Amino acid sequence: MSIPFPANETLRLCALRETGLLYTPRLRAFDEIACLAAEVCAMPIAMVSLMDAESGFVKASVGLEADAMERGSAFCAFTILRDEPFVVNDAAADPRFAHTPLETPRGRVRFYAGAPLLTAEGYALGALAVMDTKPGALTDAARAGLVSLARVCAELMDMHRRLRQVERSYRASLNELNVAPAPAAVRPALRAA
Amino acid sequence: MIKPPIPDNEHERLAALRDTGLLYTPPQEVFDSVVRVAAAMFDMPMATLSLIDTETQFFKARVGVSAMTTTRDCAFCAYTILGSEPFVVPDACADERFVGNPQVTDAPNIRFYAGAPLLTPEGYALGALTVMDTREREFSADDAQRLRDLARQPAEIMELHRRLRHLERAYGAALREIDGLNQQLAESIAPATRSCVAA
Repeated sequence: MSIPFPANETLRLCALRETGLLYTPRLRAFDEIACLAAEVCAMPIAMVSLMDAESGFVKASVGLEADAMERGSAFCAFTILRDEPFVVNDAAADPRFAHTPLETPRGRVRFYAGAPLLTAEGYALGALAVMDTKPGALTDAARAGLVSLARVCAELMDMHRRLRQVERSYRASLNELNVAPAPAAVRPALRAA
Repeated sequence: MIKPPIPDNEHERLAALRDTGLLYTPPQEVFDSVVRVAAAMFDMPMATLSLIDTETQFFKARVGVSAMTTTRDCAFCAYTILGSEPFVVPDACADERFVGNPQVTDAPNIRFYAGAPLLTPEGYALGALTVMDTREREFSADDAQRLRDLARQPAEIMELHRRLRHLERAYGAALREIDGLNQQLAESIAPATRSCVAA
């Protein structure tokens, strides 16, 4: 099954790489967001996923053992297409997911609700999702909580990205300090002459 | 009402707070989200993200509270920042520290208060994530734990703001140094280039 890509896929992937969070060990802050999402939505399973070109990387989770999944069978690949939560009430009855079940220690995922992790520019880096092994529905309160926590999670990722950007610029400047700054200086002097 | 004591690490704590660059800044969606989650999680009419400055309590985010600041003397959070664990006042009217406190006798009429300190990695409490009610309430040890867990999120974001500002300052200094060196170099070779062009 082919999943549509977001219109801004290339820039989205750039932003995702810039966070430096892909395929990295667990970070407590994201684990806690997954726990909070499970609690706020009263669901046994939750995850923070980052959607790379070919696969979804699970940055944090509760009630889930997988640490990556194929993009082609990932619920979150649909979540990143829109800027509001994506809900699958019963995956077994949904032709998009019926044949590629997501397994958890509690059994197959039937219910899924994910909110996109949006950067300030609107790139959906991945999703904050809650799941259950039985069909379900997302209450208004759970939806509001999920969206709020997704915003906190996305802000954390965006801060990581900004930190890395400034770090890179800073290192580049230090390098420039260490090597001769002559070429840049000669040009204005020549223009002045 | 008893004036809240000052923490032992007040000087360093205030420096860390200033470093975040978040004092007296407009609301930000991410912090608004945190207080909304806190209010919903504990079913409370009020929740705030408070930063405790020298003499003022500033609400970086708030629901159910209209003021943007209060004096530090009447801030419940001024007590919360004295420790690293959640601070709970089940009934402010029965607590001598808060009897007669204008926050209790007047709007927002706080009766119940629970606050978890916003801790930096060094252990400085910049402020608190709070939930409050106009009636007395109970707050279990489990509730306190959940509030503390939630408070780690805004604390982490504030810490990242602080690191970002540190880096930006260092970066700015490096850029100025480069500019200075370029300028010196340009001045030192200008006579040579002028004579070179003239020839």
